[in-house]
Amino acid sequence: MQKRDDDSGNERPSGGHGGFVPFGQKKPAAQEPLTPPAKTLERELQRASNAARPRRKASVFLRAARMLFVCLALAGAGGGWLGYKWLSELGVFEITDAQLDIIVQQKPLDNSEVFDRAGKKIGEYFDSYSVYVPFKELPKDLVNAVVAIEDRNFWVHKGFDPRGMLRATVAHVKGGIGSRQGASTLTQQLVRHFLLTNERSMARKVKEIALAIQLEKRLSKEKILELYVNSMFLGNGAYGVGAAARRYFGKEAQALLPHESALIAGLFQSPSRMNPTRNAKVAKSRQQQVLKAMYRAKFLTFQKAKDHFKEPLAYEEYVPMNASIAPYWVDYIKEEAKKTLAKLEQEKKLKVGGSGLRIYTTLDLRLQRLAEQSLADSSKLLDDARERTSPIKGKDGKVTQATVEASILSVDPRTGEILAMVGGRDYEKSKFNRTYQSLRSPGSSFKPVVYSLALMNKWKWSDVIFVSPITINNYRPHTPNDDMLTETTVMRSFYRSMNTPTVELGQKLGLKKVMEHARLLGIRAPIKEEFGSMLGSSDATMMDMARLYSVFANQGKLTELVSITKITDRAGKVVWAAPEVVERQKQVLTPQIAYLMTQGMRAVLAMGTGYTSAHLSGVAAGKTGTSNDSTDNWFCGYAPNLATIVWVGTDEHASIHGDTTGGKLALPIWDKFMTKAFTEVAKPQPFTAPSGVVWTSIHPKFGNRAEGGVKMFFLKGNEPAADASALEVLSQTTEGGYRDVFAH
Amino acid sequence: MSSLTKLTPHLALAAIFALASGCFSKPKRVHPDDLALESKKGHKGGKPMTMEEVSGYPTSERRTKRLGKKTAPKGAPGVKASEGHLPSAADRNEAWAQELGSQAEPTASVLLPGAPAGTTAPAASAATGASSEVQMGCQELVDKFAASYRKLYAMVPTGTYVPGAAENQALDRMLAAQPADCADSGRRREIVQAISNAVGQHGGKVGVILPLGGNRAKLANFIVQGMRAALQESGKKLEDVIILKDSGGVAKTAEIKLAELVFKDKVAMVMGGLEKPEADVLAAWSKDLQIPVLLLARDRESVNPSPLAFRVYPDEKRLAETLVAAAVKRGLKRVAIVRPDNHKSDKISDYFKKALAAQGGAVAFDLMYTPGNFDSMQGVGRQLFQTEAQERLDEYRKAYKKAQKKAAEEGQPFDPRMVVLKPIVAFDAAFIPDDFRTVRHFAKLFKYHMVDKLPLIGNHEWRSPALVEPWDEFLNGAIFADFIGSYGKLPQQLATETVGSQFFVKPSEVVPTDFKLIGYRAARVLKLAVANAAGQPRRAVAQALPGLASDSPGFLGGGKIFDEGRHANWPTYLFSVAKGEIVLESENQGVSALSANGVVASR
Repeated sequence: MQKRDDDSGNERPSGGHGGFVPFGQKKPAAQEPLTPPAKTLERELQRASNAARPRRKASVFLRAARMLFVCLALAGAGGGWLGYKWLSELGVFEITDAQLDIIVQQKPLDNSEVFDRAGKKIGEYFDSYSVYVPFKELPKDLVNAVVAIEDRNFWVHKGFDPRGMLRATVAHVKGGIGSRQGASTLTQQLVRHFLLTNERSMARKVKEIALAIQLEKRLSKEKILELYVNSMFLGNGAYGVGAAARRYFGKEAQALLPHESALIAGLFQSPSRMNPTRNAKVAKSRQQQVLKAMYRAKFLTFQKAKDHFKEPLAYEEYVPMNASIAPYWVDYIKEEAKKTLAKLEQEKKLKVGGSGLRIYTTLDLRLQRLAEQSLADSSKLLDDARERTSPIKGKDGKVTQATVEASILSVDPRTGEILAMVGGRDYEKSKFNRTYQSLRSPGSSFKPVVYSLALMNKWKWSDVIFVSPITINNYRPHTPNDDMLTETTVMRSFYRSMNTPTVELGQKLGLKKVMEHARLLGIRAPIKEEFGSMLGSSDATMMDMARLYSVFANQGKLTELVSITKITDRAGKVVWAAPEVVERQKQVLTPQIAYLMTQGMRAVLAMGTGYTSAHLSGVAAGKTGTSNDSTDNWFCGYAPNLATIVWVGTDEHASIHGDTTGGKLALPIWDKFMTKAFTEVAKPQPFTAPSGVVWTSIHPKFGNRAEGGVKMFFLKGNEPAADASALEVLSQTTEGGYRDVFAH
Repeated sequence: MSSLTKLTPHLALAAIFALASGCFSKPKRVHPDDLALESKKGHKGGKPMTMEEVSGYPTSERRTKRLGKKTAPKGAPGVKASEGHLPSAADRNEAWAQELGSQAEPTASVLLPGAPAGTTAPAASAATGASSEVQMGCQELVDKFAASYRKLYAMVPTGTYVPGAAENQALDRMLAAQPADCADSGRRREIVQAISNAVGQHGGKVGVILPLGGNRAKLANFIVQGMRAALQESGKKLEDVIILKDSGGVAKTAEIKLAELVFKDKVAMVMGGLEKPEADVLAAWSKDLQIPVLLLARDRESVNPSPLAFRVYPDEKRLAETLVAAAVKRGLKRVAIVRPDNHKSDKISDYFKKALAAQGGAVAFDLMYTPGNFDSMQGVGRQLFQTEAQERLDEYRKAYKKAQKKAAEEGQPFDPRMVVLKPIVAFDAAFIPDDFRTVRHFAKLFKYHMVDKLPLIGNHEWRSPALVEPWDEFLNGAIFADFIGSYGKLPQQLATETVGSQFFVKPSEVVPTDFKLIGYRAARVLKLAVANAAGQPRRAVAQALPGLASDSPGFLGGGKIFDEGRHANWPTYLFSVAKGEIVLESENQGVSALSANGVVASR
């Protein structure tokens, strides 16, 4: 489709071919007040009334007819054969149906719309902003207004209106340059819009007429009008009356009031110049012209026209929906929809934008609001962190502090449905969606992969690990000195996120097995075959992490994430529907192992690196993650019905110094979101213990049964038997002496 | 000195009779021929009498029977004579002497460390080492013993000791004796007699001084439990044999309790010394008071001050020698000692060094660390493997630059900690006399320094399932020595549930078992000592101890309980670590297993 040039200066002269302005009368001044005084208004309508008298009309017609007769006579006399030949060369006599197929088979442009899970529209996709309105849904006033101002004889002519043309010619002759009137019918305009250029030549005009006549033979008047009003550019990015109604009045075309319809009808002539958001006075003036035309064409009574003249126009500021409700989500859905449609053989030709698709998504707008609010409420936290970032060189070469970004992704672990997505702090500043476009180092939030594999391989939470520095193939993971030369149970090492025990476990399990396990649990990003991967040095997306943590939340089932539940056409016919949950799920861990992991991650909140959110440990579980130099800070946590991943960092991978960890930066945001979500939207469900799992109180460091220890869960039969530990005895001796018969 | 020169056979003979007083609560009947022999010896040989001889009960018993005379106590400071009791030993001695008509100056024998038999007291007191008997005259006895007893008497709590009581007459007289009294030939005999009686007097019970209160109360109580278990074996109650005193872990208190035991309870011997200051105090008083003591002391040197001091305790020297023997047998002759910077490992390290030197080995490093301090232990690792040696500076610089370059190429941040030079291992094994926990951390630290394999040697503190759980291959082949073998072979009374294997008990039972075993073995020694010396004066108990024989094959070596140094033959056991298990490799039963050069031979 060609865009109508709205600023090229090729606009048709004002006045259209309504012809209601009598010869010798001036056009309304451009600076005329929006609502003229009553006397002026009376005069205006009186003039319109006079212009509608047949006497005046006949006079103009006769003069034009005479001129035409002279011209035709000259043409006929001077070059009948040449004329014929010229028309032949233009192809006037060889117009085929195929040429008109572009119009006849025109699929109406229609925005695709996106809805949240409650059916509320949250976005729309279009190549050009179009809201298709079928003829039968067009308001009568709108149809009348368009016909009155653009082609008063539309309903009677056969595509070409000689009288209108003559009238325009006369106006041209009388008024000279600047007094041009449009001589094209709606059909001609439609033909020109779809098939021809805006070239000003006789040849183009003749061809236009010929095509218009042919088109009238193939399409009904209603269809031609429908195509016309839905195709034309009407300013403000809107194509067609439906789009214009939304953009100017914030409503559907069907709901337009007569005076609003008049304004929109006035836009066809010069959408940019008449654009009410840019030039309200001109638009109002044009609206009045349309109302006059409607009166003249007897579409309005004098009184009605008078009333509409006075009716104030209430414009609504256009706020692009896509950028206001859930912008990152709407962007994401567009890509997802494209991918989805691309997989469908029969739908490959469907474009996401402009195909009038209805895309139903999983977004929960309430959670989305909470997620956005949580980020907004964390501005100080993030801005303070910015002060601690390593300086980076900007594109201009200047050294600056990188913006600390944050993103949230929330899913329903039971179904894999994405419920909320905030890809960054400010969509206007950065449209980069960090929830799926960004590959970042997950740090310790990767550790559940290692520990779940360990638990599957007969390790248990109470097993003791001696925490000392280790080196594997010259790789030396860092663990704070405070932890060195201590002992820990596997569980304590997990909830305190200790590095060397994790790598040690991973080493015993085997690097390749850990990598395979990670992939099994939903990590799709490539994993580097190096021991650093055990500590999350290989990049992953937030989607990866959402899949991973959903496995633990959903009793060991990996559920493919889903964002679109179905896509229908405008009429509601389902084009694509997401597979049922069971079809998207795979049991990758036993429910027992998943439950043990959940308990380990509850301990993270209760007493580990996430202890600042201990108040949530009763209902949620999770794990912190911090990459080297705190370039990436994560918290990934869940309840059985809600898993949420929060990432904080800079797009430039700048280090964030100071006491910066996932627990300090990401967890507070997660906490804000989950606390509100649990209260306002998704009441947390309890974690249900599967059969075959038992718990006992265990000394967190030494792994023996101990009253007042940490509640640890075990596979039944795998719980520790020892109710004492030599390490515990040792720890209780003075100066660390053990069997200290020689200590005195 | 002057008094010693006056010693004559006559006096000695007189002393025999004078000191042969009945001081023992449970007199033993002796054949009259023995008594005749005793008296003849004194006359015939003219040799100075030993304490055993002068304080022998049979003589006094006979004297008592013959005389049946009642005398009032006299001479004790502040002591009021009491009436109506049995004749005192002093009275009996005096009567005996008068009957014989002897006017010889009395003497008494004492045991002093390091002096050859027959030397004089000053000479002997200057010597150290093995003990021998020396003779003392009245003057010196007063100087040495009366003064010492008076000194101790000053510590007796008020009301504890009742001067003038029948059982206290000998002590009263000794306490009242003054050096000037020896000038009076009439009183001289009486004084010597009184001192001899007092020194030899005992009631057959043993005093045990332990820190039943204070920091180490728990351990002391375990010892008591062990003692109780040992006595139960022979159907006795602890209270029948032992009088327990609480030192509170304070040396001064121990002295007060000793005073009570000596003056009030008149114990046959004393046991204690769990704390070093207490051991020092007891050993010192043992010599001064001529009271045998059984020390439960770590230090082998604790017995040195007194020839009457013996020691029943696990022995670090034996452990070290056992380890060295095993190491040398494995060809591990250059050993690095890595030990905590505290006193607990000093002794065993010294013994280890000496034993290794004796075996032709050498200590490559002797490094200390602050226990539990990561930096300190890391520092030891760097020194051991010379990763930061000055001579390797260039090598380090190159490695540093290389790592820096690599990091830059990979776009990774450079971490200087990642630069670790390959280790230089200039020794065969590392001896780590610290607990299993520390050893496990060291094993990891060594691996961190890229040491793939290094034989490790350790002490009894290694013994724990946690040494091998979870299993660390680095520990494969390690050895350690312990003073307990199989827990399954503990005396029945000490038997405790084993966990996993016969070599482990519940962690909470490990330390109690150690100390119970000490108490048990000490009590059995006590029992044997007292049993053998029943009816003998204290000194007889002491003199019986060196030759004391085990009453069962498995007990403290099975033969003689004490070695020449008066240390009980506490056995040692060699364990090895292999494939995640701790196994008993060899066992020795004490001195009998020692090879000619003093090094324990492993089996």
